[in-house]
Amino acid sequence: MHELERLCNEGNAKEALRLAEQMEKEGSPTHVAILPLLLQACVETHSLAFVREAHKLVSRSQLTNSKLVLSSLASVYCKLGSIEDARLLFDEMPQQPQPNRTKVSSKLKPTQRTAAKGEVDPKRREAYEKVRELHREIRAIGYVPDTKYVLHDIDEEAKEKALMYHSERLAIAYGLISTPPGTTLRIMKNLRICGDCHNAVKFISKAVEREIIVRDNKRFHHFRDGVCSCGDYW
Amino acid sequence: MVLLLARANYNSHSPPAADPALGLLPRCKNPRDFRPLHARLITTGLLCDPSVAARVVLRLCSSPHPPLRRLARRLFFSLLDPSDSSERSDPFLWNALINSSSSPVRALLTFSLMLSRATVAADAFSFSLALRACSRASSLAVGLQIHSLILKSVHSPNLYLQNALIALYSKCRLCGAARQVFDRIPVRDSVSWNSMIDGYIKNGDMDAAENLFDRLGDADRNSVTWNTMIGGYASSVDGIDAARALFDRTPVRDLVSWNLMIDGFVKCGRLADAECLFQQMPKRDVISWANMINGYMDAGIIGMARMLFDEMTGRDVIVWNVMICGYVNNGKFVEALHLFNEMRAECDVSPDNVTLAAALSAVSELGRLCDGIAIHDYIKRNHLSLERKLGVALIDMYSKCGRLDDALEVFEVAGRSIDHYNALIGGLAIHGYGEIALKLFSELRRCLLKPDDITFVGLLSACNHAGLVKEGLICFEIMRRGYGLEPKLQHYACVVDILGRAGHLEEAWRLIESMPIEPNDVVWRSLLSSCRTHGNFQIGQRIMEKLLGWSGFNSSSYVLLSNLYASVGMWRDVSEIRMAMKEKDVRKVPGCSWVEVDGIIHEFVVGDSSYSQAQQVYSV
Repeated sequence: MHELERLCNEGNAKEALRLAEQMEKEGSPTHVAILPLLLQACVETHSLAFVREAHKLVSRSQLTNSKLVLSSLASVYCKLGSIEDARLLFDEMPQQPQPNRTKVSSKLKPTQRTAAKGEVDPKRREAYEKVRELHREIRAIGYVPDTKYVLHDIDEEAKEKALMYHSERLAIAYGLISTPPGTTLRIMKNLRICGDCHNAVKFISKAVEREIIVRDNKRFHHFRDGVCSCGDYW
Repeated sequence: MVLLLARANYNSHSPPAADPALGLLPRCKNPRDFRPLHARLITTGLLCDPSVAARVVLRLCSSPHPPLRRLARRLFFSLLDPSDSSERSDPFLWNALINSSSSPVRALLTFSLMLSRATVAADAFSFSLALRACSRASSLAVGLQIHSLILKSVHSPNLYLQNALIALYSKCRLCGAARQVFDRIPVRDSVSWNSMIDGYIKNGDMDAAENLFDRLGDADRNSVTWNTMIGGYASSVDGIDAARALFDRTPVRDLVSWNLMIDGFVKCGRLADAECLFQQMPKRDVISWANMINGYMDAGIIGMARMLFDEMTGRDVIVWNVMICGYVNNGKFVEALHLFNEMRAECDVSPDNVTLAAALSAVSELGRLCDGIAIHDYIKRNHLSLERKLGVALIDMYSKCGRLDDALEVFEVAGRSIDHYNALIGGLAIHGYGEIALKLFSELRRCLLKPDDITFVGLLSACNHAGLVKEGLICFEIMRRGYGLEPKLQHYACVVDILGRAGHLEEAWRLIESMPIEPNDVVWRSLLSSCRTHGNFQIGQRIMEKLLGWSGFNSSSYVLLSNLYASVGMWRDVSEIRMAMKEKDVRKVPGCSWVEVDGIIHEFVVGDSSYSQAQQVYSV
């Protein structure tokens, strides 16, 4: 058992699978606590074959009815591109009754939620239209797309279009159409803002007369009246 | 005025008649319950009756609510007539005050006030409480004084006090002194043996602990003895197997035995063994579940942790905290907040400081300001202290949610620990206020606070974002020469970035080459990014050779390489890099931005096609 755990922790999925199957033949099925490690090791190989082998072991274990484990497996199948395997897995997944959610504490009430993916939101369409409108406005006051930030070998027009729909601009557009005039917008981004977006947002803050605060993965940028707090050094 | 009114009422109603309201005293569970009774006692003047006041003080001293305990102290010192010595001379009431003190310093202060009263004679319990306070504070100097007092008093020798002395000296890492006390006890009890064994264990002397343990026969060892040794072995280096052997030998294992063993296996990464024991446990408690959940979370096996959590009934705040903190530590911030909201909505368990700090941490990462404000409102409504981690977490949250003004406001009302300063310096850094961060650093030095590693990470980051190259290098030297702090990788990475972004690429290269610790890929990537910014392909190539040697060459490195080639128009090389990424299934992290509107987060991804007509919009 310890050898199997060691192999899993080392990410040696192939040997781990071989050992697990050998142990199973010898009458020592893989322990329920090891299976997640084994599954994870297989997932890290990005090999569909390995994941399928691990799935077989799960199917013969006590975890076979674990909705959480099966959901994770389905997710892995999707990520590896095997939609059919995921669909079959969902079909086999046991259905459980939904918990009774009638009791609500008065101490703190949840107030926040994330817009669900796929949730119909008409403003998202408006955001795309707003992006184009914003670009017309900022071009009128001096913005020129800096296509050097598009690191693809494509023509200039395609580069400009690619820049237009960077995620922070979409988020800003959505914020602008969803909040009252004068409201400060706070945008979060998972990566570093690119140079052209930084320049564009400065112009946007001037055009719409809003303070726009962008947090990227390095720092905050406070855009106001065409100027950023970082002094263009980031 | 209220006190004068109470005294006046008391004087006019002497002797006081018994009031039925006093019968409600035992039922007062919280400040709200006590408030009307307190008002009645004041207006009727009963509170000035020493016997009544004593009853109230005793009741309030045992309250779990700090405001009520503080009120007990005020009543004791304010209302009792100094000339009436009957209650003031009784050590019982003084002992209650000492025992209810929120900090060892306060307890010792109360004890010293007690000793200063000629009419009060401290009893053995008083001394034991004082010794316990010394143990909590690891205050050897005061402990020695109390030991001297004990030796000169009529309480010597007293087994109870001798056991307390063993605990004190052990806590102060003086096992020799503890052993002297132990050896002089003529008839030792189990507490004596267990305290001495525990002292040896906590001071790393397992051999001495074993020796004492072996001197006891099986009949003389109680469950605490066995559990102390099991815990000692389990927490010592390479002692887990010895712990297991002892566990198997334990004649009657209790819940603590099982929990200690599971905890030991979890901490040394042997989840399979921990799981086996967990399954074999005759009875589990919340600690058992928490240990297992925590083990799986630490191993990154979130699914199993969640499965166990969902399987539990009767979860307490500890288990909720383990789960929420586990999500945060594994970068699952959305899940952490969802669980936090579930906790608030569906159960009667109230979040504590740990819960709230974890939730604030998740909020900080996600930038969900409205959630953060809601948590802050809860903290204010419940009068929770900001002096420790909550204040720090709030400063960090407001900083990372773009509300630096609110972070400053929290800083002004919270404590002034180095952690609070670190949080604010870090916040100023990411907002680009490098010069203000430097001023704050000067302030904390004037306050005689000692900066730590985190302080200098914040300062260097602040200098980096503000382009303060000279100041950054000075801070680096202050860190090394002024405070004797050895720079860590993150400090070097900051300085490399400071130099690189300012265009001092060769100097940054030399710094990396001279590092006493092996630079990691983060350090090299930082410089590579600067090479791209400044178009220095020559140094960039040298860095690429370094990075290519790293195993697990990640997507960021590939992207930087590709971008560097692209910046100088080497499109063929760009294609080769991207082909390599494709072959190795390395994917660039897509850009994702989100905005919060009316409490709802709206995410957008570059090239977002989350609604069906996006392609049409793009094509326009």
